[in-house]
Parts: sequence; structure tokens; C-alpha cells
Amino acid sequence: MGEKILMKGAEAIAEAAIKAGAMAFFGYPITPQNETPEYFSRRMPEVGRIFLQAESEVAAINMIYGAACTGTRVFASSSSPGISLMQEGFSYIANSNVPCVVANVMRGGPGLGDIAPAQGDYFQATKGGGHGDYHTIVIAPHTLQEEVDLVLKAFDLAEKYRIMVVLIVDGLLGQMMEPVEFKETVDVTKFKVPEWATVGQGDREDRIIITSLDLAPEGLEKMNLHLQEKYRKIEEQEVMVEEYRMDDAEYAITAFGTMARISKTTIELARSEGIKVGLIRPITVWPFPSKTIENRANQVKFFFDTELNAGQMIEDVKLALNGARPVYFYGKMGGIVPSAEEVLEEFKKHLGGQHE
Amino acid sequence: MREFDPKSILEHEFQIFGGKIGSGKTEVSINLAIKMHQSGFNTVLFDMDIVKPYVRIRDIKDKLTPYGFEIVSPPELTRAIDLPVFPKNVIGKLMDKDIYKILDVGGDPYGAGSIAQFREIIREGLYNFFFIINTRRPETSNKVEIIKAIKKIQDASRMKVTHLVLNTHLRWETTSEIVREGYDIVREVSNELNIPIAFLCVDENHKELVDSIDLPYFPLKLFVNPLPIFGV
Repeated sequence: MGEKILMKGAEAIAEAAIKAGAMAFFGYPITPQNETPEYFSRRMPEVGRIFLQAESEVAAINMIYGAACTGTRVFASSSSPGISLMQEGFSYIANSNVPCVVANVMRGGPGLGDIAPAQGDYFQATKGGGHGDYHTIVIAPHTLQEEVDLVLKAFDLAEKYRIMVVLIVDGLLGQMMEPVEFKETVDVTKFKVPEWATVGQGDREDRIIITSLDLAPEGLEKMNLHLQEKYRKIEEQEVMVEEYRMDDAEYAITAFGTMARISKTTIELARSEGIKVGLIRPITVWPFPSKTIENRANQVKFFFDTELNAGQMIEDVKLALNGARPVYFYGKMGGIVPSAEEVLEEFKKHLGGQHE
Repeated sequence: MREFDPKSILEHEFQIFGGKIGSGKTEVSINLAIKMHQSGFNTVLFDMDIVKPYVRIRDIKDKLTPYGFEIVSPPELTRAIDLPVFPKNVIGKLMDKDIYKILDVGGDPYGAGSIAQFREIIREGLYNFFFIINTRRPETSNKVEIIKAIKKIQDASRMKVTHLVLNTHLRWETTSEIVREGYDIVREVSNELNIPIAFLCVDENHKELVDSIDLPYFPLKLFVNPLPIFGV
């Protein structure tokens, strides 16, 4: 591969999924992720794979569910209201233990909201937007190159744990353009059908049944315990986090996606004024890097969480700290993205005159 | 090495910018409007983009107002909305013979097709149609793809591309080799279709990138500039 090209975020997600070996895409148009299905609609026939515009997001996620049961790599994308429609399917997929990858290019909410960038779907993504005790792995890149690299990683994780992996980016990361490089192309001819996949009985004695249902409470409890065991393992092994300029930091900003990126500029501005601040950026927002945050509690005076919402990830930061340090918040809603200077100004309000 | 002089295109009253999504139409049309206005020409910039949902001219109007040229854009209500709406006074303005009209048209055949309805006003001989090319974008990375893209845009808009514009770049990772490679590809297209390359674009802070290329260069002030990047 190698050569860099200039791509829009939503296009880059699609090409990354194709390079990762996605054999089928199911989705439905919604701004600001339209470039993803549009790109798939052109490229999937070129590579002899499946693109299908479903009649709704409800249909799309159930097509994903069905296709994922065959053990093939499947991908869907949507934006906030469309992802809400898909939540029933998320829950069914979780308890059926089938792998798939879904991208949510988040826009302003709640309700129909607007088409501007937002991060208001953090709770939905990390706490289980559908019913029952379940999780999906949730990945939050902050550049387009990272987006591309993590789509590939997402498929690997999905298959390793037979779980749905959700990529959350806000509309800005979906619409902006940056140079990207596709470092790896998965050879789909080497795909093997996993032993759990429902691809016909063949010469097996028993049929394979994939279901999210067990009407006997004891049976359903067993399914739940299996899920919980899987989630604990993921929490132990799959946390991804970036610590930026934390070595000598006296304060820590916590942020993900676009706000983490803006915070990096804020940190440069603050440091030019002699304020030693660093960033803890969760790359997986579930599993959440609680230990990383806890480990910095004794080093910094306070945490400052900033998000494009009313304060969602801050709850996980507070849980990680368990009261050890104060956690302040600055957020914007409705699709408004603050500048690095605005974030700095809000941050400085908590310094108590030490750096005026 | 000489700077692009807009006077060289002023025999025509319409300056239309078309091309693939993400080729740089908005950025170039804004810069041309500034340049023509500053050179004393009565210039109006038209936001005709019905395709992209973010960073259209109407979304960054505040940044452009200080330059003083007139902007014709869809009503304020359509800011931050992806409705395919044209400005309400667009026909009257397009018919105004006393102004130079720069049109930022939406990307791809879908965007270009929307201006076909004005072809009785924007008649052949009255316009320059600039097809902007970034050879580091998907679907315009080689001669065959570019020619296909030009034909599709011509068919959709029912207008003829009169000039090519070279806008090969990789944002902060642009090198003179990358620009040169784009030039070689676009020159092939130019020879094959017999359409001249009007100019090449370069970030005004990095003019050295185009030093070795024998084309008029157009230094761009970047308005459609998203987030900075640190530590990656």
C-alpha cells in the first residue's frame, strides 16, 4: 500500500472497512455519514462484495445480525438518530455473541437534533443503549489516520471476542479531510468459516443455533454470566488510552475524539503560559481506562473533563477517581464546537488565581 | 513562475468552479472572489453548493464579510442544514450584467447537475468552467479517472469544462514531489482533451512547493480549515 491520499473521514471509514475485509455493508442514509454508504455503494461492486441500502436502520442492523451469524466480516454505519433505531439489534447481537463493526458519526441531539458535530451518544454507546446487561467495545479515534487504523483493529477485536465493536466519531471527524494511509489490506481469500457460524448443517450431527433467547431463567442467567466473564476479560486486556504531556503535568484534561484534539492545542497554549497540564485520552471509551486515570490521581491537582455534550464521560472519570480529586467540566451542546482558547479560559477558572 | 492574474479570465462574466467532492472548489472560489474584489472588479460570490453539509460558504460567512465582496447564499435558515436550496434571488443576480459572478457549485455530477437549470442564462461563450483536480483524492488519481469525472460533470451540468485547475495537495503533508506528480497527471489530461490548465493552487504560506512548475500559481488563504493537529 503506502501511498497517502486525502480523504474525508466518512470516506476513510468505508475504505478502511473494505481494506479490513468487510464482505457486506448494510445501512441507510443520514447526514453527516452519507459519504460512508455512498463510498461503499461504488466500491463494493468493484470488489465483488455486498452493498445494500436497507429500508431503514432497523432493517440494516437486523441484516447485519443475520450476516454476522455466518461468521463473515460485516459493517454498518449511521448517525445518532439512526443508531438509536438500531439499539434493539445491538442488544440481540450482544447476547447472540456474533462479531460485527458499526460506525456512529455523531450529530447533535436529542431527538432529530441537527447535523452538526456532537458527542452526546457517549452514554448510549458505553452503557448499553438497548435493553439488558450488555456492552459493545467502543472506540473513539481523534484523527482520520487513527480512524483508519482502528477500523482494522475493530474487526480483529470483534472476532476475537465475538462482540460488536462501535466506532464513535463526531460529525467533524466524519466530514473533515486529512491525509491517510491504508497500511494493510486483509486477504479475504484466507478467511475461514468459524466453527460457530450458521452456514448450513453440513455433516454435523447437530444444528448450530445462534439465539439471544433462553426462556428458562437458569439458562438465561448462564448466558449472562458468559457475557459478564467476556466483558471482564475485555476490561483487563483491551483498554487503549493515550497520555499526552502527562509526565510533568500538574493538571489533567480528560477528553475523547474531537475534544481531545482541541485539548491538545489548549495544552500547548496553557504550557506557553507556564501552566503544566496534560491530557488523558481514552481511545477505547468502553472498556474505560479507569486505571490510567486513577494512577494519575496523586500527581495532579484536579481533572478537567471536556466534551461535546452535557457531561457524560465525566461520570466514568469520577468513578475512576472515586472522589480522590475534584473533576471539573466544560461542554458544548447542540453541535457547537468550542475553540482551544475557550477551553483554556474555562480551564483557568479553576486555577484559583495561581496563574493569573 | 508567475502569479495567476485573474485579468486573464475576465473576458467572461461567469467563473464556475466544479469538480469532485473535496477537490477544493469552495476554497478556490472564495480566494478568487477576494482577489478580483481587491483588484477593483465588481465581484459577487454565489454559494450554489447543494451537496456538502458542513463548511459551505454560508457556514463561514462571518469570516468572509470583512473582505467586502457580495455573497449570494441560501437563506440564514439553511445554515447548518443539508437542504438542497439555492439563494432566493439567484436568477436576478445571475442575469446582472454589471457584475462578475463566481459560482461555487456542489461536488460530483449531483452538485453540477443542479446548475443545468440556469444554462439559458449561463450560455456558452459567457462562462469559464474550471474543473478542479486533486490527484491525491479518490476517483481523480489518474488520467482515465479524471477524464471520466470531467465527462460526467459536463453531462450533468450541460456545460463545457473550459479550464483545468491543479490542486494536488495532502494538507500539511504536501511536498513539491506530490505537486509535481499531480502536474504530470493533469498535463496528460490537458493534452488529451485539449483543455488548458488555468493555474495551480498553493497554500500562500508554502509557495516554495510549486517553484519548479511552469504554470501560473494561485496562492490560497485557507478558510475551510478544520482542526489543528498536535502530537500525532
